[in-house]
Amino acid sequence: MLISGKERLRYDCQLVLKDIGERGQDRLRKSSVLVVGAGGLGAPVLYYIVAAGVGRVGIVDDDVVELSNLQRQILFTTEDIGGSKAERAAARLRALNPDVQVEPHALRLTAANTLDLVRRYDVIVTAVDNFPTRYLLNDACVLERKTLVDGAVLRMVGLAMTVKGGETACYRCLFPEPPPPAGVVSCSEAGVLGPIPGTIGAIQALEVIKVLTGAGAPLYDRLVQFDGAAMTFNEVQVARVPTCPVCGEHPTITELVDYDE
Amino acid sequence: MMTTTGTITARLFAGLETQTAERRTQHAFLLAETPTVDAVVERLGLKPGATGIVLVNGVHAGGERVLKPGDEIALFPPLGGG
Repeated sequence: MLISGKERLRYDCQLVLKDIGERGQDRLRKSSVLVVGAGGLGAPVLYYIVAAGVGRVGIVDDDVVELSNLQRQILFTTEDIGGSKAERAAARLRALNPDVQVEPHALRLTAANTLDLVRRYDVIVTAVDNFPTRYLLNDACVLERKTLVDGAVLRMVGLAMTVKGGETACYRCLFPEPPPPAGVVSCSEAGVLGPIPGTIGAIQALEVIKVLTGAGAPLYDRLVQFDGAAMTFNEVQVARVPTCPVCGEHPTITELVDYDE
Repeated sequence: MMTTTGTITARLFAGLETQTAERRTQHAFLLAETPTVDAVVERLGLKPGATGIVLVNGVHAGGERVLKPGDEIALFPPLGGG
């Protein structure tokens, strides 16, 4: 018997799924996931993976909750304003599912601290709002052979892709170097509607559950685009690049690099 | 010898089409007029730095990449929000 009576009730709707079942639930309970960013993407990712019973969940975010976050960052309420995002998120998630070990990390990832943190988790989720951290996590997951679930949003569109480090196309295979900071617009500058990160974050949570349980086909070598204005999904097949600077045949990146934001 | 007859297709993703005059997501161009990735970007009227991920047949390509008949180019803006 892998599952207790209480778990049978809590997870009833996913236990009856043939692709999950008791074996899948047991795998979720024995797994750990690090979600980097507790914002618009991180909120749905965290809600769904904690609700699904992933055993240990880390949350990285060094920001505090602001009023302008609440339009899309649904982990937080008005009372959370001014509090640490990592801590407030952890408190809300523990209330949702006390059986999950929730670990807040109120820090900013750098080349110096990322590998140590990444090594402590099975799957890493990029729910960040900047390119430097996205590249840090991509490189760390390739170097450590971890699975990375990436997502990005802006305005009315979003992208998602899953990377099996060293085996499937990584972020640098598609985009070898970060764009110059001047050319990048943020959600606060260009705008975003809350359900856009809600949709992409839900896709990322689903990818985590699939990767951990072996259910379905993850977004390996596939970049999915969601256009919320047109209400369309498109998929682009992508491929590893032998000249990729981090996962290619002769990598030039063998340790982590800090980029300017 | 390099072939310059035939067409290539360009698909714009993640809202990049809103930065072009025609605002369409799919284009077909004559290879003779747009022999490289840079030429396609210029033909679309995109500003330098407007593109992030650029793929030819699903594989990363630089701007100087010389195109072949039937190539499919996928262009994305730098999309990093979360």
